[in-house]
Amino acid sequence: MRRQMSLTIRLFCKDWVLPAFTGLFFLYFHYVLFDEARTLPGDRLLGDLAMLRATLPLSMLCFVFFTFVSYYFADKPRHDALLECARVTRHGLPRLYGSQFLLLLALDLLFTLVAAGYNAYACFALQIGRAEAVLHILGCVLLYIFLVSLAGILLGMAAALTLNRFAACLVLVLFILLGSPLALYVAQALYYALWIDVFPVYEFLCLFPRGLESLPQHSVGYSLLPDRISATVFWLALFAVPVLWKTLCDRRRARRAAALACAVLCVGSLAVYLLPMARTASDRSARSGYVWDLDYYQFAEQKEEDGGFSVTGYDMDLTVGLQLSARVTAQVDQPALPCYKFTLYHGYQVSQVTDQDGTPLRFTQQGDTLAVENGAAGRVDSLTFTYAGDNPTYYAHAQGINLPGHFAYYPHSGYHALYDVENQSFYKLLTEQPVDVTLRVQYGKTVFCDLPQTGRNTFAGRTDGVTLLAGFLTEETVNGVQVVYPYLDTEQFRPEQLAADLNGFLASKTDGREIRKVMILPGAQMELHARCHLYSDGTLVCMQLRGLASYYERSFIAPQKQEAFNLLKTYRDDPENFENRLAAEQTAYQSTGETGMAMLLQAAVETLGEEEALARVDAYLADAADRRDSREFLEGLC
Amino acid sequence: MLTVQGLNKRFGRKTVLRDLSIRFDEGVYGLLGPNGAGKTTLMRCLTRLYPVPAGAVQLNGVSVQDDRDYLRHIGYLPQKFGLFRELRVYEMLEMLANLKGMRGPGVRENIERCVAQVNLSEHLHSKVRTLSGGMVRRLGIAQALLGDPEILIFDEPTAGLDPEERLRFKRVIAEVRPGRTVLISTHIVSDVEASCDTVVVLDAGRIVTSGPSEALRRRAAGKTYLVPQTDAAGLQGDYVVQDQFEADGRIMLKVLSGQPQAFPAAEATLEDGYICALRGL
Repeated sequence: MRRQMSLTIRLFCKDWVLPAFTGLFFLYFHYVLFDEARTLPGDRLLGDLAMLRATLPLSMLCFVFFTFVSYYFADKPRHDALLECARVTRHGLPRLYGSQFLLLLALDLLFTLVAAGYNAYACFALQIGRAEAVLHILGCVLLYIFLVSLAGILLGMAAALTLNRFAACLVLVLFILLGSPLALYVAQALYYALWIDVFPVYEFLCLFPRGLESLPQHSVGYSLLPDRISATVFWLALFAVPVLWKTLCDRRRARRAAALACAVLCVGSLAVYLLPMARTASDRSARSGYVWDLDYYQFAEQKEEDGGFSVTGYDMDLTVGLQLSARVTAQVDQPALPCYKFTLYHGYQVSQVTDQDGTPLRFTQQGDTLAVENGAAGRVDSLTFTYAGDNPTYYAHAQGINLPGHFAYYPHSGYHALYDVENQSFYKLLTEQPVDVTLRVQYGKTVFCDLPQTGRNTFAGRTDGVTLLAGFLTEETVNGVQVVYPYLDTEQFRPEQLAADLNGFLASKTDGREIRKVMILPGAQMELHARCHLYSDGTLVCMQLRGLASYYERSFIAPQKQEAFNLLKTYRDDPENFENRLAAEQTAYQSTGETGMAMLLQAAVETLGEEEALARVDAYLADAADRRDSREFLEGLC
Repeated sequence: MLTVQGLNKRFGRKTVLRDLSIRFDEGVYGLLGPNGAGKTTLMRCLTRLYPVPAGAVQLNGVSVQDDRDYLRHIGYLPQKFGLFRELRVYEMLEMLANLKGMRGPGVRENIERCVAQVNLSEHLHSKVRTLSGGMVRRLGIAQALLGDPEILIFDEPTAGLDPEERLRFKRVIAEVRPGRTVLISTHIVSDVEASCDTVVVLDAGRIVTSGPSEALRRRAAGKTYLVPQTDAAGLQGDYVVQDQFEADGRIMLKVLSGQPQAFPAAEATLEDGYICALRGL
């Protein structure tokens, strides 16, 4: 085999096409990574994932390159009419194609080592000291560069061994297109024009990293979840079947064994892929990612109904594996209701509800509503819910947890609308009063919670919303405040920047409310008013520290009052802009007859006087009992 | 001894070989037959390129499907033969020797000997792309000789070669034949006449006749006539116009007929015998 390898290398080098294209691509590959390396820390917004972010787009290029080089090389014996001769030899095809495969594998390893080398250098230069982050980065290189390229090698060989030239090129081009952004556009067009959902097919076919068009999720990185790995393994095994079948044509037993092994691998990996599991929204197509909830709630009925009881405490056992599994016991203050109404996000399927004695109770889960019938005993002190599931935005999986306290990942009393369709974000849902919560999380990584920690991933305390975070996070104390933040996001969270932003915010805060902890949520689609929330336990959960003062101020304003808040802020802080808006509305009024909000405020100021009018707006914004929306209030003000 | 017993080969609905039985001992065998007769199919069955039922093809009593070392005994030159044009002659043969499982210091010597047998020694280190078509064909024979196999199978080895190359091929066959079984398929009768001890005529997947070339030639004895074209109307019964030529200012036809004809007899050639066998004359 050594001699065959030597001859195969010689053959590779002497065919000018192969070394030329390989050399060119290698230079380009090297150039992209070198360009990023020499400008480290690079684009600040990318933080410590800058080098990885520069590497991952090369995944598709590697696949294309290796597919066509592999096809060209494996087709040479047929093209040069040597195939029959090679077949009528004792070791013919296995040695011939085996040596080609090994050479291409070596090239694949070379590219992978280059990518890994640059990323390792970046880890060193950026002083990424955490093993978990380094392993994640190298794991991404292994999956998206090495394994994806290997899939290309096997696909090219399979096409060369089984198809004629025309069919092979067609198949290769088709497969590349099916995993490309073009296929995503086609899938989106099919869905939004004809309501044909082919996104699951696209996600299964696309081996390349997703979410590259936006900033990386620093708290979880890029997906190395079982679905990505199993999809890649499936295609590897599938492409290997024709390669092994054709090259081992003279060794029936070995051929059958190899084909069987690949078939088992295919079936196994497909089974894993089809398991219910959580994935990060950024790793999904929009349809099953960020747009998932919008699509659902546009047509779903959301109820608002008082349950007639309150939950006085929670005891939670959560397990995070492929997805979130939970066993949550809620103590209720009304023991004799005929039916207990709860709200739980519909992505979590309830399998059982029992009472305090462990007696199963009948329940109906419909959308986000969960109705539990009182048992034969007639007395309910607590209800224990067993459920599992996920949400693409607020995920819980092997790479991280992002469960803010305002999200209904545990049951809340009564029926509540969860999603604001107009603003495409979740409402904040909290318990009316702070309640006692004990919580245990079975998870491999460290979990961060707003509640005080009592053991490893075990927490207990009193709060109106339990926030859980895990991933590439760390905790530091700045100016007496504990801050949990994604350490790879060095644009926002370099130690000096973090301290400056936090201290700036604390200095600007005048409401006297105590903040003992700040937890940074991974980026998600959230309206401005929902981007931070101060929980009853003194934990501020927010998306960023920069500009926090503005979000903080807004967070105490109810959603329907946000417009009035914006208008008031503009009037006070940016009068020129207010005047421009007023002029625009007055012009529009002449054609449409519609009175704009600025016109209403101006009218109120002219009628009541500026001081009185603005005071009334302030009072309206602060009055939780006043549930009028902004227009209704301003019209009443005049 | 290579034996074929009751070999049938079908591709879809088309039967290409029908209950074919033949024995190949030491010597040179010429497989003659028209296009589609099954010559290449038979050769591919003998080289295991096509699977055959167990026992249908045996080498020294062992079914070739069960014999792991069978291909060690085979040297094969396919109809469409090519080489990696980027490599040199020696490198190409070395690669093929490696695929055949040859190893050790004797490989170099074997390659040089095989190249010498086909008179390409001076091109041993030339690039394959610099070789002419005839030289590539000879190189094909050289690669078939690698490892000293006992059975050589050449499928249309002289197709596309000029007369000089074909003559060289015949010399090569004469050189390599001692102690070997050589099968040559062709539809050029003259190639068979010069080189082969036994001629096997195939038609529509069946063996029409098999025997020494002289016996095939004699099959046409007494059935070959020279007929002036102008007198062709006088021919009786079934006949085949084998050839047409000009002699003494007249167009003459060489006719094969199983019926006696009132025209002068011509000397029968191997080709005449081949046609008689095919047509059942």
